[in-house]
Parts: sequence; C-alpha cells; structure tokens
Amino acid sequence: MEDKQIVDLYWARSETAIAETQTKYGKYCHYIAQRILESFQDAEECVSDTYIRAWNAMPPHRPERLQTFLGKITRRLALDRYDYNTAQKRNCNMQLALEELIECIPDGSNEDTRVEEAVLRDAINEFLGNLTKKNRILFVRRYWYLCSVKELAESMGMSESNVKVTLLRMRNRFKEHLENEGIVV
Amino acid sequence: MDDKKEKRLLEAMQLVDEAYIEEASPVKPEKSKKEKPARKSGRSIWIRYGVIAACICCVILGAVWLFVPLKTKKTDVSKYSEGEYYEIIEKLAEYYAVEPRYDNRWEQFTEGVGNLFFGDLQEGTMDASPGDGGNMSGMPGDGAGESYQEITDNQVDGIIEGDLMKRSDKYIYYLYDKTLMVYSIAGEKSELIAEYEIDTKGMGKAYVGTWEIFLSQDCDTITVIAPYYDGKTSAQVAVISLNVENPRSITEEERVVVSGSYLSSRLVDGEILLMTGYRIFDVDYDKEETFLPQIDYGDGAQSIAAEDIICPEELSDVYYTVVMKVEEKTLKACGSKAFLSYSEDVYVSEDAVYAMRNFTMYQDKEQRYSGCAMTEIASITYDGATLENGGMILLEGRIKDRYSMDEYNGILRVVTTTERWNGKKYDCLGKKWVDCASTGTNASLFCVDTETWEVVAAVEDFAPEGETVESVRFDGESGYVCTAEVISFTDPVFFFNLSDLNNITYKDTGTIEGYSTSLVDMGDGYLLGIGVGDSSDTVKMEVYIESETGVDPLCSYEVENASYSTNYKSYYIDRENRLIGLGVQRYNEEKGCYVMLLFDGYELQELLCMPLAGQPENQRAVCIDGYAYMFGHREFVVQQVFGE
Repeated sequence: MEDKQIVDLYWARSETAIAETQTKYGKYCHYIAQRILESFQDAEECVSDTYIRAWNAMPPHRPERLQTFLGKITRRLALDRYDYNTAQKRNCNMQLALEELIECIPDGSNEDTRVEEAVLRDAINEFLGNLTKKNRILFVRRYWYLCSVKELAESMGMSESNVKVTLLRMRNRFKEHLENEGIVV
Repeated sequence: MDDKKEKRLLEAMQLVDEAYIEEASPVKPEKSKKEKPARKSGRSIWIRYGVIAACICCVILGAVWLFVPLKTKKTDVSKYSEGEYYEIIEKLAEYYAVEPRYDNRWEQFTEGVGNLFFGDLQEGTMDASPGDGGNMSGMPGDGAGESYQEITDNQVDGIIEGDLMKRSDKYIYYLYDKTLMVYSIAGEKSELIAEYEIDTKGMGKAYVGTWEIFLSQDCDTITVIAPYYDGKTSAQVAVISLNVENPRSITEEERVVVSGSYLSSRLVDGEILLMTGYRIFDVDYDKEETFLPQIDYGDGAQSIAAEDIICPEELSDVYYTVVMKVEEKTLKACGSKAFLSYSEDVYVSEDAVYAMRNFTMYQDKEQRYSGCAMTEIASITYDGATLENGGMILLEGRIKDRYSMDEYNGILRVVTTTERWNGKKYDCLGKKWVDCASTGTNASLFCVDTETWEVVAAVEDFAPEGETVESVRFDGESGYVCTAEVISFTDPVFFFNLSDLNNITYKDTGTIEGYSTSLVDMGDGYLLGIGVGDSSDTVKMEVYIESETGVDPLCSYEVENASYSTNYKSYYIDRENRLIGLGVQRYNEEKGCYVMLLFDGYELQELLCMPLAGQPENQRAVCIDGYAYMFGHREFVVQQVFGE
C-alpha cells in the first residue's frame, strides 16, 4: 500500500492503518529500536509505542515521508527508553558511535556559542549535502541508524578498516565544517 | 562521555534531513508484490519471435481494453430485500457503485498523466483534532471513608470524561503504560502505595490510542478503557473493571471487549457511554460482520439491530460511530446505537450524544463546479433506560471538534468553518442555494432548536475572510471563538452574547499575534487562551477580558522554543484557585517541565516550572492543599506551591 493511502487510513481513524504500518514499516522501526536498545523485547515494545504515537499524531499531522516520520518517532522513543535503562546497562555499539562523533565536536564551553536548532540543522544538512551519496549513506547509517562497523562493511561492500577510515575522514571534515560555522553542540 | 553532551549529540542527529534518512535506510519497506526474477539470456530465435508476436497481440488487446467504455455496475442486492438490513445494504451498494469518472481507460490514463504535471487542483482534508475538558465540578462522596473529587475539566458539568488521572480525597490514581499506580495524598510525605499491572494477555502488542480510567463515586471501582489492536483482526476496546476498595490489593472484577477503535467515553450516573468507531472493509452482504458493527454481550458477537442504526439519505463515508451504554460496576450492557457515515468527533450533552459528519455538497452533483463544505449532526438521547433516536440537522461548514458544539436550554449552538467554491453557498435557513461574494474560508455560528431541529438563529461569516475556526468554548449565554489565519500566526478572539437569540451580539480583539488551540472560561468574565505565539515554537497563554468596545488581551505568559500538548485533558484547570498547569517541552533540553501558573486578576504568575520526565501529552498534575502533585514518565514529584 502507498504511504499516502496509509496516512489516509490514519486520518479516517481506521484500525487497518496500524496493520498496514506494521506490515510495511514494522521491520524498519524494529531495526532502529534494536540498534539502540539491543533487546528484542524492548525494541518490540518501542515499535508498539511508535504505532500509538503515529495514531495520536495523525490527524492533525500529515507527514510527507511516512517512513522517516515513523523512524524518527521510534528513534526518539528508543532513546527515551535507553535513558531509562541506562542505570542498569550501556549499549556498547551506541556508545562507540557516540564516542566517535563527539571527537569531532569543537571543545567549546561558552554557553553563548551554543547554537540555535535551526542553525545546527542547516549546518548538519549542508555537510551531508556536500558528501558523495555513498559517504552520506555511510555517515547517516552510522550516526542516525547506529549501525555497527561490521554491518556497514557488509551492507556497503567495504572492508571494516575501509569503513573506519572513511568514517574518520568524514568526522574530521564534519568537525571542520562545524568549526567554520562557529558551532558548539 | 558526559551524559548531557551525549544527549545533545543525539538531539543534533535527530535534525538530519528526512531525505537523507530515507536514502540511507538499511531496511527497505516491505512490499506485497515480489520482484520479478531476472530474465535469462540465450533464448533461441523462435522464442524471440514468439515473444514479439505475443507483444503485438498484447498491444492490440491493450488498445481494445483502453477504448472499451467503462461501466460500473451497482451490485444487485435485491435478494436481501426481505432482510432487516435491506435499507443499509442498498445505501452501501449505492455508495460503492460510484459512476465512472471517465468514458474509457484511455481518458483515465491521459488525465492521470495530466495530473502528474498540473497536480490535483481539488483536494480538501478534514481537520479533526481530539481534545477534552470542561467545567470543574465537585462530586459529593458517600462519606464512607473515601470521597470522590473531580479533577478532569469536563466539557459538560457532571458528564465525567475518562482520563489518565482520577482522585479521591485520600488517593490519586494515575494510569501509565498499562500500570495503575496509586499514590497517597500527604504533601511531601506522599508515596506510591500500590502498583497494579493490567493483564494484557491476548491483547497483542499494539495499544492503539490512549488508555483512560474512571473512578466510581464511591471510590470502590476503577474502570479502565483500554484500546488495543490484537494484530490479527481489528482494533478492539477492552473495558476493565477493577476493585480498588482496598487500593493495596487491587483485583480485576469484570472485562468486556467491544470491536472498533476507541473514540471517547463518559461516565454519567453510574453508567459508562462508550463511543467506538467501526470502518467497513471488503463488504460481503452475506456476512453481517463485514458491514455491521458487532457487540458481544457475553453470549457471542451480535450485529446491532437495524432500527438502532442511524444513517443519512446518502452515505459520505462507510464508517460507524457506535455508542454503547454499560453499567459501571457490572459492565452489563444497557443498549447500543450506531451512526453510519458519521465519522467525526462526538459531543455528549446532559441527555444526548451528537455525532457529526462533514462532507462537501455540490450545487450540481455531476459538474461539481460550485459547492460548499457541510456538516450533518445527528443525535441520540441516553437519559432513559435505553438509547433513543434523536433529530438531525444540516449546517453549512465543517466542525473542528466537540468543543464547537454546546447544548443550552434546548438550543444547540454550533460554530463551523465555512468553505465555498465559485460563489455559491447553501443557505441552511432558507434551505436553498444562494449566491455569495466570498469564496474560501470563514466562520459561522448557528443556533438549533433541538425540539424542532430548525435553525433559529445564525451569525454567518463573522471572521476575517481566509480564517478558520481554531478553538471554541461556550459558557451559558456566552460563546468564545478563536479564528486564525494559521500561516501568519494571527487571530482574533470573539466574545458572543447569546442571551437573546433574536439579537446576537459579539465583540472581538482585532488581529493579534498567535492563536489559541484551546479556550478556557476562567470565570468572572476572564477567558484563557492556550496556544502558540508568533511562531509554532512559542507556547503562549493569554487572558482576555471583555471591554466596552471589544475584547482586550490582559496578560500573557510565553515559553519560547518549546512545544506543548494540544490535548485539553493534559491541562490542569482549577477555576476556584485560578490555577493553570501544563507540560512544556523545551527544545534541546533533556527533560520537559511542568509549568503551573496563578492568574491573580492582573498577571499570569509562574508558581513553578518543575523538570518532569515524559511527553506533555501524558503529564498530569493536581494541586491539593497547597501542594502540586505532578506525574510524568515513571516520575512522581510533589512541590509545595502555597503556604509557609
């Protein structure tokens, strides 16, 4: 079923909307949650919560891209749950990805230099826009979808060391780009 | 790594453009159709000729197929003419038998290609946002230990709405994530005294919509309304009765399951009115369950009787709004009715349930050139032992939500957003098409006598042209309406005097910044607007007061770079102490916060801004004896706001 039709079902308050969402994007949402939570059960619950959020958001919202709309909800919910679980355990893969990314954030402590959300959004997307398609996919998969290096190597047809080096170069460029924009995250 | 920095990083990555996220998706959406296998190479020349010949035949057949005139036959349903549901079946058959828009498939194809370039010029969508709330009412307890205290700001006094939180004089009951939590009311010494996890066996994993609870007047029973999707059939609503006589030892007493998606519920005099939605898919007139809502009274699912189904002359949607009445304690069903084709919000007055359907009416059904948005309202009464059919009325415009309707002294007041095309509108008073200068959107107010079901008064096009109704509130002989031009974030707020229906007067603020998504009558002539400021990123609360010449904004409170919930039930409204509470999520902040304000007659003073986990939608608070009790995502906070 087309995304537009699924959104129409939500607007019509049809229960089929959930079933169609589950069929089309269940695996996608589960993938995102699983990467963050590393627990099948937690990820499943997170995906269920995603459907509720989507149900409550539509109407009034009419997302232009249903896939990323659901993905963003799942990621947000998974991170919230991750916060809750943090006291008990840490997700190594996610930690590793974040540790990598934090290296490229300029070391600024001045509160005045903290940026507005819109400026940051523009800077990130400008950086991504200037990458090659392959590199951009690599970067977003690593730091948005939180894929492991091994998964990236397999899915992108690269060696693990090649993935690491490419990511390192991109992080350096990202750091440079943010510094040029005068941004401290 | 520093947790705050980690959080900021994660927030920052959330800003990645959606196109890039979609592009990088490691999991592709599931497709129902399998990919075609790749063609093998090395075919013989004869096979190639065969393929070419087959292609030529296909082209010829395709051409014939393209130019054969299209016909849509209405399903012959005459064999059901003796049956109870024949009238409904006929209307459904009529609904599904839409006349073909094109003479043949070629015409359909060429128009489709045209649309690719020029777009669909006629598209209209309904905006029906849910909300809840109303007037405060103190319900007397039975004096036997615990007494009921109303905290939900119900739309109609005494018609109690379900919510996440209810309370007695001793305990606060808060439902979070399938768990009912009971807290003692003891200021700073308050504590969680019991936790009861609702049994969700057989309910699948997708819990569709917000669960809600009711607390009985004797404080012995909590009724949980639990919408869910079992993953196999369709959406269901479980109504679960819990014995909370001893809150430390909660037990489940009864459970009833109703098919359909949850719309709304009310508790009136020990009976629960449950409103659910049921959409028809894949009709098979031989199987009642494919086109009639089913109710299970405990002895198997049964179709609603034909005389209990209210439907318009012509269907505009194949959706039922089902109203079911059950006893609060025993969950014994007392009756059910269904509105076919009525698919919007439901307003419940002291004795009637009003369902509405929005549709577009054209002066000429064939040409569909000029027309206007219309709403039909149908009602059933529920004050007797059973549910009875009420009246119907057709009004111009679309209704935003249930706050746009109010029944007072036998008069139903309705505010609509009107929308017209090509200089024509349907005059509901004269019941005919008339010319009109305005096209586009505006706002109108109608007063309908619920005895005769006639429009007895109307104020049409009272807003600036191009505006839509964003929030409405009625209080006795007063009506408050906020219209807005949403794109420019400006609005006027209107105060209507409805004491004399022959001379309805109104005043307004003129154009001001922002607009309200909820209006709250704070008493003594003060009106509170909760909404957005000069952008969607500014949460704004503003108090208005009527003056001799118009309506004046008195004071306001704003939170920049933040979001809030538009669900009215998430607000705490205490008119007696003039307190207002709501959850606010500031962007780039780890936690949201709960803001409680005091309106002292001059200013909106911030009493507290307490960090609180969870989404504003699910945060709740109540102020008791000077202490604010706040509930968020697995978090409970008590803070003294008055005294000492």
